[in-house]
Amino acid sequence: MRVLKTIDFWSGLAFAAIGFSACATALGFDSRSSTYPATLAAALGFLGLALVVKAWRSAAAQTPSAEGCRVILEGPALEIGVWVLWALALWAGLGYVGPTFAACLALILRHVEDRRLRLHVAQAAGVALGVFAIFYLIFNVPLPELDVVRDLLD
Amino acid sequence: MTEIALGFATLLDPAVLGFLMIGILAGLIVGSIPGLNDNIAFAIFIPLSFSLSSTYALALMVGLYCSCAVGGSIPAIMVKVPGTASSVLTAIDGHAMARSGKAGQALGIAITSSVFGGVSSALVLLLFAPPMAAFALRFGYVENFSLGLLGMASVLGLLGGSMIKGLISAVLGLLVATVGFSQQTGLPRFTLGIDSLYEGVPFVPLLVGLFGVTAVLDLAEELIRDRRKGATPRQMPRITDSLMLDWRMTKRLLPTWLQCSAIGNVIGIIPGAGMLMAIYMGYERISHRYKRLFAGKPGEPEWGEGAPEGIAAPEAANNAVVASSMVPLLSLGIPGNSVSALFIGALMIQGMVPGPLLFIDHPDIAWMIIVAFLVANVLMWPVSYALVRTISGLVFRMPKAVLVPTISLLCLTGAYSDENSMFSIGVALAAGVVGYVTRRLGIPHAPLILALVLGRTIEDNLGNALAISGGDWTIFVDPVGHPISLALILGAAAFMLAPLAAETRNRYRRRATLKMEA
Repeated sequence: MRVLKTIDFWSGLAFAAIGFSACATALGFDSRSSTYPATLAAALGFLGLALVVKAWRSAAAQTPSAEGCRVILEGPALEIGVWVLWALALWAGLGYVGPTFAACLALILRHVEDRRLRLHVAQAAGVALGVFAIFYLIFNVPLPELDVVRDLLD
Repeated sequence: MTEIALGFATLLDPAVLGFLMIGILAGLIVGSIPGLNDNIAFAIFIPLSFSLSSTYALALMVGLYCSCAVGGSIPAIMVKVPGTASSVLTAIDGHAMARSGKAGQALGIAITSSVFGGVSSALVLLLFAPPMAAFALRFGYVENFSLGLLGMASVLGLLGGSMIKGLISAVLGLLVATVGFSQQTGLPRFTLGIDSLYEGVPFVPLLVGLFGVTAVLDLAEELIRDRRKGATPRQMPRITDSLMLDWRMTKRLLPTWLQCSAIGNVIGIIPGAGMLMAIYMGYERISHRYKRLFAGKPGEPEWGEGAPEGIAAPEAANNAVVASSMVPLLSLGIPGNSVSALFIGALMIQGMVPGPLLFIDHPDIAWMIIVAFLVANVLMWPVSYALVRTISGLVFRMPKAVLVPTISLLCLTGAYSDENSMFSIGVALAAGVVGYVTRRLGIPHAPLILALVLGRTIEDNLGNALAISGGDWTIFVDPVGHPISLALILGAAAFMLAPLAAETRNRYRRRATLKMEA
């Protein structure tokens, strides 16, 4: 089945699923609040199906190559993974500067070809402290920093 | 005149002018870094503007918006890598001219053309936004709903590509805009039991994610691709000649500037049309003129091989879009393009709503924004001339490996500062992933952004209009009671039907050609 190899087919199915499930949820709201979102959600479902039909009719294979998938995993997926871990560290109360430095260093080391560790540590520290200074010291944003650091700065 | 004086009085505060200058400088630098653009600059600077007063913050944004496109032309000319998408055509003739030892002249043409286009669009904003806003004050629920529909239709009609994907993008945006309390009943919808969603998906983290985080993911992908390909950095030509344009060149380029500025201004006012359409239209039009008047003459290069008009046309056109895209935003509350949609975020942070009421509630701010576009474009000329050599050197020393985490961090910390909440970071990350995935699926972002901006207004006005009419839908096309609404609906229909009509016409032409050949 050639159509199973098209991205539009699968994305159409995903949009149809999102649309129809949102429609089912919207129909559970009270009658005055439900008509508009239910109509939109149903429209999204049908548009998803239309994309599936269109993919079926044209059926030009668009599957990403193994190389393309590797690039996504090593680039954007890793980037998001690092920042999700960073957000979890902030949420867990590990402070701002430490996790930020670690996240920046990990990403810099991932993207550079050379291994001048001292330079990259300095770059990561510069980025982390620079952004911290902009938001915490200049704009007074109460970043989730450790009490020790906060006391030190206050 | 009193209003213009009020705008100047607000702007000429030294601190406000200072922030305008900071915006110009930042825009030049951000725009000149390949891969970054005005959207990303806004995504970074909007959260930073939280702690600034409204005049400082908005002056900063205006400066940023005006100079990004100019910055984009620097790497386009020097190394044939457009800093922003709007400089993609500048790279063709600009780089060819730089390679022939006229890098200074090419940069001078780009800067002067940008300033010409920018000043013309600032004048269009000054002339058109206030009367349109005064007219829009007559609009009620019915007209406002039809206006929202017209905005959506114009974006969808001008998209090109798959109409289904454009519609998916628009419906998705409208659906996300329904999250939170219903404006009709006050009951929560699609909140998944999360308290932070009761007032809707936070707008600033959503925009920061869609523009900033998505762009960072694209950059990360580009870095990995370059590394796998083993791409080597390009050699930058040196600027040895003068940047200043002589009188002969100025006189020669004047018709190009006038034509392309006119094109850019018209395109800028139409929501959804955008800079790319303006630069392609301007470039195409001027190419015919060049081939007719200059090509083949001694000392004149071929079109695409260093023609001065090939730089002047796209640069005048893209900067003419800048201020004119603010006309529908300031007068009607409808963003002309994605950057002006982000401008709404900047206004919302300051507790303001764009649209006709801005001129009533905050006349000093509304008029300051208008005159700031004029002043920013005028200031941009000497600033760009003075700094272009420094910026072009700086950009090529900046390691992208450090740039990627820096932008991510500025965006995510900025998202946090929206409500000082971890939830905002989650929204920005989720929006970034959705933005990246939808881009890869070929789903355009322009309808999504506009739908997010207009979604609540459309639903609110639709509900109120139907409540007034007792559920009668013909109220929107009533030629006697609501002629403006009827005109807006007809305009929306024309925008939606135009691409279908063009496609049908092309299909018939193709069939006729095939028959003739047979």
